[in-house]
Amino acid sequence: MVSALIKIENLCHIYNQYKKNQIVALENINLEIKKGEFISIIGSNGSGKSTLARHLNCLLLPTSGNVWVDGINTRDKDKVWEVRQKVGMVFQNPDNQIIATTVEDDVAFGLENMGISRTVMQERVNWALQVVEMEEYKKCEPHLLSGGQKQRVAIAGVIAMHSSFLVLDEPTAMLDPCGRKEVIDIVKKLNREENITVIYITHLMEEAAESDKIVVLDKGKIALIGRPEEVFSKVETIKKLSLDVPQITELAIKLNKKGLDISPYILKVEDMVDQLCLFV
Amino acid sequence: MFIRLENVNYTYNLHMPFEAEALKNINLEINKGEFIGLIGHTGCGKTTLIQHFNGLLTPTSGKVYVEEMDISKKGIDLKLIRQKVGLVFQYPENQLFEETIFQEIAFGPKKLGLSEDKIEKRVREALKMVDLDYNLYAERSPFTLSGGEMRRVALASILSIRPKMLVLDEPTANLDPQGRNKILSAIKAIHNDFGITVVLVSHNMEKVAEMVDRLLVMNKGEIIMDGPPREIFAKRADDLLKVGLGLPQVTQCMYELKARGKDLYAGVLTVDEAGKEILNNIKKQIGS
Amino acid sequence: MKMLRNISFGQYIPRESLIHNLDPRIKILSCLAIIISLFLITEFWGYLILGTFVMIGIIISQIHPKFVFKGLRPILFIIMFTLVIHLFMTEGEVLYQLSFLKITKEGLVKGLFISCRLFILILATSLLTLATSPISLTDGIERLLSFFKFIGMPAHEIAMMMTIALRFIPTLLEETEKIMKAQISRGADFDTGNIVNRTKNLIPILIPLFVNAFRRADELAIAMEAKCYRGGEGRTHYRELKIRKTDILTFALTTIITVMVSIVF
Repeated sequence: MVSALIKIENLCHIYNQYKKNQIVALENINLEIKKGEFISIIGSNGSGKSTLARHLNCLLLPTSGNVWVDGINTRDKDKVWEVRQKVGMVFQNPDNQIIATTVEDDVAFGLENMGISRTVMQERVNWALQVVEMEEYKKCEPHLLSGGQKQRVAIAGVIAMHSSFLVLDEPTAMLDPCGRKEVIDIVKKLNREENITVIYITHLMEEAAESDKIVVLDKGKIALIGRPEEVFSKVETIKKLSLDVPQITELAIKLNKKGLDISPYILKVEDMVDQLCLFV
Repeated sequence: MFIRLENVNYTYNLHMPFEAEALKNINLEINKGEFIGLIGHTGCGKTTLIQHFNGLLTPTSGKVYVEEMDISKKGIDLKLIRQKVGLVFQYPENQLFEETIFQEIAFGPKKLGLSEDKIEKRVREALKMVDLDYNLYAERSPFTLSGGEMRRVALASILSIRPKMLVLDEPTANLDPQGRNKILSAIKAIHNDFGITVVLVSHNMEKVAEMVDRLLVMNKGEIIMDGPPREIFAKRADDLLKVGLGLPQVTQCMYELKARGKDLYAGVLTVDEAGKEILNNIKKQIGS
Repeated sequence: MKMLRNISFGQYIPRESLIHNLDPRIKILSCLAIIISLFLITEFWGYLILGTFVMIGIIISQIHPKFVFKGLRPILFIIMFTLVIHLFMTEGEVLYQLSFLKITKEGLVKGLFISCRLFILILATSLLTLATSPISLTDGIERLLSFFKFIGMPAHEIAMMMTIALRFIPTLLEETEKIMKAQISRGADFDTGNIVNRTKNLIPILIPLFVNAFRRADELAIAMEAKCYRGGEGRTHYRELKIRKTDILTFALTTIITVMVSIVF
């Protein structure tokens, strides 16, 4: 029994190949995502992160190279729907992925497409809404919800399909800090409690700090890959890639350089406070 | 005094089923040349407040004065007010519609009735202010640009009317760090080089605190804090946290150390300042 | 504009009434039956009976008549217009004359007759839309249209389009308001000028709105595909439509009344 995993092998993607406005969006990407992992993909606009995300559920097919989801090659036309059931996707714009006129109808949308029976649908919709803490909004109309609530509904719609992978393409980009927290908390919960593998795409460093592994893309290639502490400590490289380093990490690195005996791998304010208490 | 709000209250859907009080007893004075940051949760009334600056909304009660003109009076030429106070909403790229960037930026000046020469001058000026090359961009369609570029074009289309005050609602929303830095530097330069009064509405505590001279904090329709950012962080961090607003990470760090009894100044805004403050503290300890 | 955002779109007024709980297919078919018989009736008595029937329906639905008559207001002009046309344009026994304008008995009768027809037509359709939620109506229409699938009727696609339209109307209204405010803030004027100018002035609203709508449609399509949408084949329904005894009885009652009334009158 092959453990649930995604394998990306020498993936290349070229938009408008052979035409004047040809763009090489991804070049030779090699990556393995294991079951239960929480992996963040970061990069500035144009780095190829959304393109990469869309290869995971057959929305895009490789120009060359292969993408394997649980042993299925994404080029296999007969297995497209199976892949899309396994790999659920939540997009950036909270409004443009809600299709129904009430919350519960929207969560049921994917299940209707899969031909699931009504009794099973009802169970799954209730369960999904419970997990994302939106049960009381079951009958609500989507335009009355906040951004964070809409994204939670979108997440519910995906987990109701029992996807084992959850790909989130900049899910908090259009949200306020409250909404962002709501979404990140639910995603962490899903990863911890439901063992859903999370592929989180963002350009916000603080969000990537919560993951097990960070992949930094630059102009279609992998520039850095590793645990958050390892990646963030490379402040100069990150800044050159037009990305941010969390303020607290920058401070830790600065103080460390000045000779203070604190770890340069600090990502959270609490950790910094604890360490500094020994000195100030 | 550039803008003055006196006892302004605003209620949406007054006397109707979904009545909602959005602004409560707002008293505010904005002076020429200030660089103000407006912070608060979604729903605290920030967007409602700024719409009073250019007459899009008139108070349910109270008065709004722009350059000592009562703009809620009947017969006031609001077009004149809107030339003085330029409002840039969230996601301003959603307002683009012309065939070329030139025409887009010329829209405002055209509505003001300016001559062709003057219009061209304004377009060139505005593009320069947002750091876009006239020769490369003027004849392009605005729809061929990246998100960040579109936003700068939208900003230019307000700058071309030469407002004395610029109000920007979340200008960095949904931009990557590069796009965000570009637009913030443009705004900084606009303030410094042209003396335009700027009000910046934002969620991004860290960036706003660094740039502004004065911070207005709103909560549930009221202005609860008004002062220089450093002062607010140093003295009222507790209240900020109580209303659920965050502090910049480094400020938060200093605040928590202070709460644990450490002798540190919490009014820091940047990594450099925090670093200096910590190292000074340690030096002092070693010295003593 | 802001009020529109807070109220559900459409005339629907939620209540717990017999009419509200009827299967939407039954309601749509009953409404159709009433409308058809309206055009078959030739005597006032028929209208009296049908009119009373519909009014009883309105009372059962617990919707205050004021909402119903609100729906009549826009049509009032058309009814008046029709009445006047018939009054003055029909040849026959003259009842009253004012210079060249003649009011005839036949004209009066015909005018009133057609006005009654329109009046009851609006009452019946208002009852339908006031007592049935838009999503319910969409479901009902889809199920009814699927009977015609064999002749190629794209029932599912039509229902999907209606659902998406209903879902996005409040969102697009909000978007329109935002765009208007942005354009006003840079000098656009939507209130002054003649008809030609005012239409031209709508361009700064319409183009961004269309661009916005198309972009939404694109993103929505991708999101739908990501959720395994592949058309109507093999889809199940989350919402249940069950025909119950009350539905059958109501439909039987309506059919009997409408058929009898059409034949007798």
